[in-house]
Amino acid sequence: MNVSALSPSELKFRLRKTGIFLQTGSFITHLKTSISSVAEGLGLLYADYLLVEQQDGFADFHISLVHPRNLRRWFKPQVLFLFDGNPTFKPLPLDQAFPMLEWGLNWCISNHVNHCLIIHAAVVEKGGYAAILPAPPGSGKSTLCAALVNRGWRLLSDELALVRVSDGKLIPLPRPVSLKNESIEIIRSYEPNAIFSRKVADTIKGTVAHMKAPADSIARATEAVEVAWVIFPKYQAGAMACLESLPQSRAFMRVADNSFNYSLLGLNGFKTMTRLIDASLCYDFEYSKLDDAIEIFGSLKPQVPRR
Amino acid sequence: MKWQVISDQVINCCSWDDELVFYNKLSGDTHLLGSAAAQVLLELRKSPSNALSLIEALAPCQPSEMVMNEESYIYIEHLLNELNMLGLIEFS
Repeated sequence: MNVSALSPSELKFRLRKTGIFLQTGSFITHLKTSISSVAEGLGLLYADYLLVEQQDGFADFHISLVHPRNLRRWFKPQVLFLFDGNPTFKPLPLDQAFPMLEWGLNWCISNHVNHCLIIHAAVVEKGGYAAILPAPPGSGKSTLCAALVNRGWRLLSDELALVRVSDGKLIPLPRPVSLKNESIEIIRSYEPNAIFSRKVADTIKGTVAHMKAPADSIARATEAVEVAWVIFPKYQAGAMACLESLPQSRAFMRVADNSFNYSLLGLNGFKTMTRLIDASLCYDFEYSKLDDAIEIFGSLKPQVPRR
Repeated sequence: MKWQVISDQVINCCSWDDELVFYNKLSGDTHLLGSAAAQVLLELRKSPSNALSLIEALAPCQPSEMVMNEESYIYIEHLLNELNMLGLIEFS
């Protein structure tokens, strides 16, 4: 049963009473909250996700969003993210409850999933080949990712590339795409049919909104894929779209810098990264216009296999 | 005085073009070695060697003016010290 099978009031009721077991990619999250904006965000952006019936209560992550029991709740209400019943972050203004859920879900994975090498990167796929887009905040990674998935690329993730240590394949984690500030309106005009959560202002990242992941990407969330390209995107106002070849050794070090658990995985991290880079053509990519970027991505060819 | 690659370190590297990415199993660090350092390391993987022998072995890969002068000796010595400090080589 998908989240969309529940009416808004049923979803609110279940979230408040027993919580829901939500399948995102290969992970199950048990989520409990009585905060209305979270229920509304889930109903809007997670409508196509599977609700799992877990009789034994198993979940990879048990989280809840609650109102902290302090005096501020009377004049400046807040939200607190609990992981296994324990507060993980400082409380945020209540208005930021849904973004906090998204950030918290990312935190759950980047801090607890170690059968994968986790890279701070967007991942998209077309024709069976995936492109990893690692980049620091502000590089236009999520904007480019949002544009690509609205033009025929499959979304694996806009934030966390999960490279399975056992076989080097990329595991999908299609969740809403996080956009901030100007990027929100850029993508809204680029794809008027895209569904967005309401904007939340004054967060640590500025104004944020989340774009619903394409239904096809969610439906294919169990299809792992081979990597073909590692592309470091950089938005540069006025720049001509330019894809520049990057030596694999340099790409290795930069991807490692963008990884959450490369060091933690030790030799397995090195081997997984070696395999990933070996299978990839690596590029720096500068762009200013999304249509130009889409065209260049459309002309990417995978590496010819070595004999 | 000869240098050799620390035996545990031998297998944990990969090379693309003329650069080498090396995982130091003892420290957990990963190093990107440029062309010259990579060549020195690969020579030492074949057999223990000293600076003078390394200059001779690497001569075909170097510009002619670099071959067997004091500058190249100092350069190789510097690379050996760097590799030693990274925990990749030791005295044999």
